[in-house]
Amino acid sequence: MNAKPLPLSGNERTPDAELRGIRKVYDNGARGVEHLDLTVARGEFFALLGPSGCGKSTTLRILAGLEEPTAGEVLIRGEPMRGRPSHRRPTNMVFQRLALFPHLTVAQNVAFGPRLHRWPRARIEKTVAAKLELVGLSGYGDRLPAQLSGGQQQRVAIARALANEPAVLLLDEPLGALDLRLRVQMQQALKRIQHDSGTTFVYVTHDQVEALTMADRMAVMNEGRIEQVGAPADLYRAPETVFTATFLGDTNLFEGSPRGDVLDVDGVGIKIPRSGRTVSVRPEHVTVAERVAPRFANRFRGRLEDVIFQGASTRYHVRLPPGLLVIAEQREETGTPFSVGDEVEIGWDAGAAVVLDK
Amino acid sequence: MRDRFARHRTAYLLAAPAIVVLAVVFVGAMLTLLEYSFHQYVPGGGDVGGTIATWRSFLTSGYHWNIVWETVQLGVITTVAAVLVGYPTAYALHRVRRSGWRYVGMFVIFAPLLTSVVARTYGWELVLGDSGALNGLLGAFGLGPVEILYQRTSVVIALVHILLPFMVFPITSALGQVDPALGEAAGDLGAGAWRRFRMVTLPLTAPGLIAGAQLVFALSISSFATPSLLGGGRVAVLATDIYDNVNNVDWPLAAVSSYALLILAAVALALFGWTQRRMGRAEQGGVTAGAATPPGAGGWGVWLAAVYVFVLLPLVIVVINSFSSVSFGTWPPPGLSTKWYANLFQQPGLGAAAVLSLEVAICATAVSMVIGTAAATALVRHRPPGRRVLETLTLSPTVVPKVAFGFAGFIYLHRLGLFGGIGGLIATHVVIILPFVVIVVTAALMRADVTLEAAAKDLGAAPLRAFRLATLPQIRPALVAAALFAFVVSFDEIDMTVFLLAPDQNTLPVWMFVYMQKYQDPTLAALSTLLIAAALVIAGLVALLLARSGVFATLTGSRRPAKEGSSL
Repeated sequence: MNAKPLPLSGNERTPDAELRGIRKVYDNGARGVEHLDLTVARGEFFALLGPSGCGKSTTLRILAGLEEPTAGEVLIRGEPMRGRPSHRRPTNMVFQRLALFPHLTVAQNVAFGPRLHRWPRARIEKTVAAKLELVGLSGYGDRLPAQLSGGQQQRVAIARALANEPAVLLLDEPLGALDLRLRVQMQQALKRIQHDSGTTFVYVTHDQVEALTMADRMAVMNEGRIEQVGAPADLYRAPETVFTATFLGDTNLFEGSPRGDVLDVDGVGIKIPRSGRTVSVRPEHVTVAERVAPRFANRFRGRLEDVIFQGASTRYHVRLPPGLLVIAEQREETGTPFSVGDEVEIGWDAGAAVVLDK
Repeated sequence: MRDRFARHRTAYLLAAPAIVVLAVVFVGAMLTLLEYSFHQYVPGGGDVGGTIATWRSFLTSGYHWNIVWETVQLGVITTVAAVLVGYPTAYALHRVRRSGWRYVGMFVIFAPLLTSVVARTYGWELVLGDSGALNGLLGAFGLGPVEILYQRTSVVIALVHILLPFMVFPITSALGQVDPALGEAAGDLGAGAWRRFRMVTLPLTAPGLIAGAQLVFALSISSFATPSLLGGGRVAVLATDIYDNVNNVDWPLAAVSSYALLILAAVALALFGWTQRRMGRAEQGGVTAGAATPPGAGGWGVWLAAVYVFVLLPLVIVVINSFSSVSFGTWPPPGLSTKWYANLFQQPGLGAAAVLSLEVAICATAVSMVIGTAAATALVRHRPPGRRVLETLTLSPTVVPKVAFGFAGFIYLHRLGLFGGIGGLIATHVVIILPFVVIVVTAALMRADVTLEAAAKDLGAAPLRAFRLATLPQIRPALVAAALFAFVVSFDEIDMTVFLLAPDQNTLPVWMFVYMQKYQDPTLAALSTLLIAAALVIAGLVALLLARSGVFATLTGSRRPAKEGSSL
C-alpha cells in the first residue's frame, strides 16, 4: 500500500524540514511565496508569523504536499519530497477549520490514518488511547465531534494528526476560532503536547503573542518573503527591519537624518548606538516622570496628550516641542500621577534604540 | 387562552387560508376516500357501504399482491438506476471548474422538468420502438433489433429520465456542503483518491443520496402516465390498476387500491426517514464549505456528455419527428414535411384543452402563491404554537400519491355535486402545488434578514408595508422560482387530473395522453415541439430575470460589486 515511509535514517543533526529556494506563483498571477529558504531542526517548535496573505499558509501547504512549489525543493529529514502527494509524506496537518470527520467518532477520527496504513488492530488501539491521553481526552473516544466543545475538537484534531507519528506536524492557525481564554489555555496545552511527544511542530499564525509565547524559533513573513528568523526574544529585542519591529509588538519608529551618534528627527536629536536612518524604541523602554534620572542618554520634556489605562500598565502619549509624538508604557503601582495636559519628562537609554536596516 | 390567541392572531390569520383549503379539499377528499374503501361494488346496482369485503378481497387476492409486488419492483429498479446515473452526474457537475459550464450542465439536467411528461414519454417511444432511433443505430452496426418498448425496461428508462433531476439536485447540494478541507485532511492522513471518496465524501453525501432516492422512489411508485403509455398493458402497477378499476366502475376497489398505494408510499417514506436518521450523524453542524476551486471534470466530462445525450435525446428526436413525412415513428424519417403542424391545428378539442390548462394553472398558481406565502410567513416570522401541526398539514399532500388524491377528489367532488366544474380542478391543483410554494418561500424567508423589516418598521412603515419594502425584495427570486415551478407542475399535471375531468373536459396533458393512447402519428410530436419551444422561452426569460437580480452571482460565489442604491 501507499504507507508513508518514515525516513528516520538521518541522524539527530539532520533538520526535520528544509525549504530550499521555494517559489510559488499561482495560475491567476497571485503571488504565493517569493523566495524562501528555511530550516527546521528536529524537535523544534517553529512558528511562521505574518499578516494574512503573506504566504505563510502557502508555505505550510507546500510542506504538506497540498500544493506543488513552482520552483525549489522540500526536504523532510533529508529526503527530497518532489512529486510526493500529501498522502505519501511523513507530515501531518492540523487544519485551520479542523476538518474533523463529522460522521466518525473521536476514536475513529484518531484511528483514521493508522487504519489507512493497515496497522495491526492492537497497535491502532494502543495508539488511539495514547494520543487521546496525550491531549487529555481519555474517555471521549465514543463521542462525535459535534458533541465536543471547541477546545476539545481542537485536541482531537491534534491527536488525529499525531496518530501517524509524523516527522513534522504542521499546524495552520489552529487556534484562530477560539475565544481568548480558551486560546491561552490551548497555547499552554500545545506547548506541553509538543514537549511530551517530541514531535517537530511548524506552526502558522498571524498572532504575534501566540508565536512569541510558544515558539522555540520563528520566522516573520511579509509579502511572500521571510523578513527575519530567530528566537522570539531575539526578534523582539533586535528586529532588523521596520516590518519586524512594528509587527512584533508596538514601537516608536523614528526616521531622520543621522549626524554622528545623533539622529535628527523633526528637530529632536536622538542618541543612537550606531549610524542609521530609522530606529525603533519600544514604549516599555521609555520612562515618564516629572523629572527622569540623569542616567538616561535621551531625555526630553513634553506635554501629555493622552493617558490610556490598560490594566497592568498605563500608556502615555507625549508630544515633544516641535511636534514629535513618543509613546511610553509603564507600570503604575498606585494609579497614574499624571493627567492630560501635564508637562512631563521622558527618557530612555541609548541601548534601547534599535537601528533598523530597512 | 384568549390572550394566547390574541398574541398570535396575525400568525393564525396568515395561516388560515392555507389551513382551510387543505382541511376542506385535501383532508376532506382523503377521508371520503377512506370511507369509500369500506363500500362494496354490486354489479349492476351501485354499491353498499359499511363493509370490509373489498379490503378482504384485495388482501386475499394473489392478483392484487402481484400488482403491489410489481409496483415495488418498478420503484426499486427505477431508484437504483437513478442512483447509478444520478450520483456520478452530480459528482461530475460538482467537479466542473468553470461556473459557466456548470450552469449549462445544470440547465440540461433540469430543463426537461419544464417539458410535459407525456411529451418526454412520447420521445422515449420514438427512441425505443421497434423501428425507432435506438434500433436504427444498432442496425447500422449489424446489431439488434432489441425489443424493449412496452416492457418494464422502457418504463424504467423513461422514469429515470423524468426523475433524474430529483436525484441530482439533493446530491449536488450535499456535495456542495462537504468542506473541501475534509478531503484534504483525509489525503494528509494517507488516503488516496478512491479511499478519500469512500471514507469521507460518500458517507457525508449519503443523506443527500437518500433524500434523492426517497423522492425518486415515491414518484416512481405513484407514476401513472409513463407505465400506462410505455408499459403496453404489461406493466400492471397500483397506479394503472386504480385507473382501470375506475373505468370498470368498481370504485370501492379503486379506493382500496388507492389506500394500498398510499400505505406503500408511507411505509417507504418511514423506511427512508429511518435510514436518513441513522445517517444523521454525518451532519456537519452548520459547517459551510469554503470556496475552494473545483478540481475540474477531467475524465468525468465523457460521462457528463453521455448523460446530456441521454437527457436531450428523446426531446431532440421528438422535434425531428415532428417534421417527418410519414405517420409512424420510423428512424430516420424518410422525408420532411410540416403537415403534422397543419394537422395539429385541426384537432377538435385541442384549443379548449389548452385554454383550460392555462386557466387552471394560472388560477392555481396565483391562489397557492398568496396563501402559501402567507402561511410561510406565519411559520417563519411568527412561530405560533402548533406550527408543527401546520407544517405537517402543508407538507402532507406530497406524501399522498397523486393518483390516489385524484381518485379521492373524483369521489369527493361527486358527493359535493361539484364535479365537472373548473373550481374543483383549481382547488385540487392548489393542494398539490401548495407544498412546493411553502417549502421554497419558507427557505427564502429563513435566509432573509429579519432586521431589515424591523428597521423598516422602526422608520415608520406599517407591518404590511414593511414586509413589502424590506422582505419582499429579498425573497423575490424565490417567489419567481416558486411561481414558475407551481405553474409548470399544474400545467403539466396528469396523474391526478385524469380522474377529475368530466367527459366534455380536457386539459392539454390529458388530451395528449388520450391522443397517444389512440394514435401514433407525429401530430403529438408537433405539439410537443411547440411546448418545448415555449418552455425554452420561459426558461430563458426566467434566467434573464434571475441574472439581473444577481442570484446567479450569489450562487456561483463570483462576487460582483453591489450596485449602488438597489431599488426598494
